[in-house]
This record gives sequence, C-alpha cells and structure tokens, in this order.
Amino acid sequence: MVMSTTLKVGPEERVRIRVRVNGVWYERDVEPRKLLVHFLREDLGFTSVHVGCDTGHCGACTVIMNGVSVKSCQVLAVQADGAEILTLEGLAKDGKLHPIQEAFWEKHALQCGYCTPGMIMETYFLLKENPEPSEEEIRRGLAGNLCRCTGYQNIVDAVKLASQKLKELKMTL
Amino acid sequence: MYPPKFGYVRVSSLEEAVNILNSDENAKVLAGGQSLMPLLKLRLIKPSYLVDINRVPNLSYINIERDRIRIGALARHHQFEINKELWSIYPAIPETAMQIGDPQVRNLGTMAGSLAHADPAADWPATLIAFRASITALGPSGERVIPIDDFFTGPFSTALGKGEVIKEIVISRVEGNVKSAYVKLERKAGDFAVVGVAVMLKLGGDGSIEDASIGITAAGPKPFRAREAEKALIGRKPTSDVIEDAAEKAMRESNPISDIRGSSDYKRYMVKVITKRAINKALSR
Ligand SMILES: Cc1cc2nc3c(=O)[nH]c(=O)nc-3n(C[C@H](O)[C@H](O)[C@H](O)COP(=O)(O)OP(=O)(O)OC[C@H]3O[C@@H](n4cnc5c(N)ncnc54)[C@H](O)[C@@H]3O)c2cc1C
Ligand code: FES
Ligand code: FES
Repeated sequence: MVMSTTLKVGPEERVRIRVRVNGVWYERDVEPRKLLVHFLREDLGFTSVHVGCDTGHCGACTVIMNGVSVKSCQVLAVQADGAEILTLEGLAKDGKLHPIQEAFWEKHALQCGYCTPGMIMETYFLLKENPEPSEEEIRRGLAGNLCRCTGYQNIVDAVKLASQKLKELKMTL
Repeated sequence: MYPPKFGYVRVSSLEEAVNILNSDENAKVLAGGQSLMPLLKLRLIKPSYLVDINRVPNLSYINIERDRIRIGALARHHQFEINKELWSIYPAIPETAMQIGDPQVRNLGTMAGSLAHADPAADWPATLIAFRASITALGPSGERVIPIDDFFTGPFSTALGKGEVIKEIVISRVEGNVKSAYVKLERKAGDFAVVGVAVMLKLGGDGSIEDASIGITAAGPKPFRAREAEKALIGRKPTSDVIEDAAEKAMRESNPISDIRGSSDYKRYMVKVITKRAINKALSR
C-alpha cells in the first residue's frame, strides 16, 4: 500500500503554513508547537483574540474556524493550515459595527471587555446554528465563555437583541 | 503558556499513524486536541511527535444501520448532539454529547479521543457501557475488536497496545421497546461529572424489564457496569421499590474517591440518587 505523509516537521524545524483570516490569505513559518492564538495575535496582529487561561476553560480566545467556534488556544497553528478563520476584526464592515457588536454596545454587555471578543464570536456561532435561541439555549451556548465582570445578564440580553437585529436585517451568518 | 517542543506529522491514513506510533513510543495521536492541548500547555506530557489524524478522509461518520451504529474516530461530540435520528432511537447518546464541556470543546472533541484519554470522570464511557459498545482498534498486526467492558484498565489507561489506534466504535442495536437516558450531576456548566449514570432498558409487552444495562462514570478508578443493579431490574416491573433497590445496589458497586467534586461518601450517595433519576428518565420517554 502506498502511503503519503502529507507533512512532517521535526521539533526544531519550522513549517510554512497558509491561513485565510477575515478573507485575507497569510503565509508564515511556524514552529509545530505554536498555538493558533499566538499565531493570530503575535504573528498576524489580530489582538482581539485574548488569552485568559491555560486549560481551555475561559473562551476568551474563541474564533470561528472553518465555520465552527473553537478555542484558538486549544488548536495548533499548523492544524489551521489551509483553514478559513474569522476573528472579531472581521465582523465590522466599512467602519460600521456588526449587529452583534451593536447589540453588545446597546445592552451594555461588557465592563472590562476582556471576555467580549470571545463572547461575540461564540454568539456568532450560536446565532448561525440557531437564529432564535431561547434564554436557556443562550446560556448553554455561552457556557464555554467566562466573564468576571458582568454577571452575564446583560450578555444574555445582548444576544437576544442581536438575534432580533439579524432577523430584521434578514442577515444570515 | 507555550507547549514544550514536539514534532508534527500530518497523516492521510490510520495505517500511517499506526506505523509511526509503532516505531516511536513517545509519539501521540492528535484528534480533537481538547484533552491533549491542556496537558501540553501545563507540560504534563512531552511527546516526541504529534500524529495529526484530522485530515484522514472518511473518519467523521455516524452511520446508523439496521442492526448497528458505526462511529468513525473523527466523529465530534457536536455531531451527536444535533443528530435527530439518534435523539429518536437512542436519546442517551446525544444527551451525553450535549453535556460534555462546552460548545467549543464539542466542536472539536471526538468520542474516540475521549475513550483513548480514559479520564475516569469522562461522560462517553458511561453511555457506551450502557449500550454495550465495542471498539475496533487498528494496530501493527491489523484490526481487533475490544468490548467496552475490557477497554478501560484504570485511570487514564486503556487496553490499547503499542501502535494501536481507535478506528471505529460500534454499537449493536437492540430490537424492541428500548428506552435510554444519561443523567450527569455537575457542579457548574461545562464541568466534569460529580457522577454520571447511563441506563438502557428494554421493556416487554407487559411492561416488565426484559433487559437492562447501566454504565456509571466518576464513581471509581474507571467507569463500570453496575451488574448487580442490572440484575435487580431484569424480569421485574419497574415499580418504585424495584428502582430503589437497583439504585441502592449501584451505590454499593461504586467506589468513588474524595476530591474537589465531593467526598467519597457524598458521591456514593449521589450514585444512588442519579441512578434512580436515570432509570425514571429513561422510563418516562
Ligand atoms: C474545558 C473542557 C471541558 C471538558 N469537559 C468535559 C466533560 O464535561 N466531559 C468529558 O467527558 N470530557 C470533557 N472534556 C474533554 C473532551 O471531551 C475531550 O474532547 C476528550 O476527552 C478528548 O477527545 P479529543 O478528540 O479532543 O482528543 P485529543 O485531546 O486529541 O486526545 C486525547 C488522547 O486520546 C488519544 N487519541 C485521540 N484519538 C485517538 C484514536 N483515534 N486512537 C488512539 N488514541 C487516540 C490522544 O493521543 C490523547 O492521548 C473537556 C475538555 C475541556 C478542554
Ligand atoms: S485562553 Fe482560555 S480557553 Fe483559550
Ligand atoms: S467584561 Fe470583564 S470579563 Fe467580561
């Protein structure tokens, strides 16, 4: 049987990867151990992607990868080779906030703002899968995103408002 | 925090992964990465190579066939959660998936990865024990089938040998009036179970229990089948006395340790409470 290893990189080597972030292709050399979150923040400058923990619990680093939400601290940059990624920076268009961002603004769904990019990206995934979630579904949908400031109530309200705004605008995610 | 240095191999077949794992004992499979990444970041493990199987084609299937369900090594927790057919035939399966971690973890984490990781508090093992699943392992000398009852050998250890990977998980379908449920007691959303109990019951025409199967997680060094509890149900009508007796037996079969999720006494008592709830939930469906 013929077997082809598509890619093999030693621990001391770097490998060239291509990743499409917010519609633009980037090519960089990375170490195999580099986390996607560090690649996005440090190599590409997408500093909305925050690091809040070492264990995959806080969700501050959430981005959309190939259509699903992932914690970018739980994915290697090499794994994202060829992937399509959406970060908070990709939401606003022509200087205008995305309806989800507007809803967070209007409902005062943030205080320090550390968790906010992750919250908004997870909200994006939640509303993409389920455009009109119940309060229970919103709370379950955001279970992987911790906020130390708001007590969550205004975040839940913002997700409800975002759902309404998207419906009124007939906007699909 | 940065993980330690390791090499990376992206394979295009499981055979290739087996070859690498067989020749390098420090290489490790990378599936969803949802257990592996925290271990790497906390520097609890230091593999030589990560063998990324995520691009192996045709491994993400959940095939519901007439007499069995076949699950590929890359089926993610989320795929079970949204599978309508599973909700109608074996609700305990998607019900287990939806209680694992959080949406981001479920988007990447796999059933096979969870089994191979063998966390004694993981959710899937309870349910797969209740459904009497088997695991198809691929190794240097080909495939072999491991019944789930023989798969877990202790905390974080399994019957997988050198160079072996999980290829598929198979659940044989049971004919007749089958009811199932998974009930997880957790301290907070997204946490591992304090205890978790999965129940599968087959009811006869007269309402008595023809067959019963109970899998319990987080209540011992490894997930287990509560055989005495099963015996207390089989052949009887599920009255509250019968259910109480079965739950009591499940409690006596458990052997949980004290940890941050509770004392061993508390957890033992919770095995009884949650077993009762799981049986009643299955019956109510
Ligand atoms: C925040 C958080 C919360 C969580 N909560 C829960 C929870 O409530 N309940 C629960 O059960 N789990 C929970 N988990 C763990 C999660 O379910 C993981 O997805 C799962 O344990 C591992 O699956 P994976 O595909 O991510 O495996 P990986 O992390 O990629 O691998 C895990 C281990 O399995 C091995 N492996 C993977 N695939 C194979 C294969 N096909 N053959 C042989 N070996 C293989 C790897 O080498 C590694 O040793 C949580 C994880 C996180 C980060
Ligand atoms: S940084 Fe906390 S989950 Fe990624
Ligand atoms: S606004 Fe401060 S952590 Fe959420």
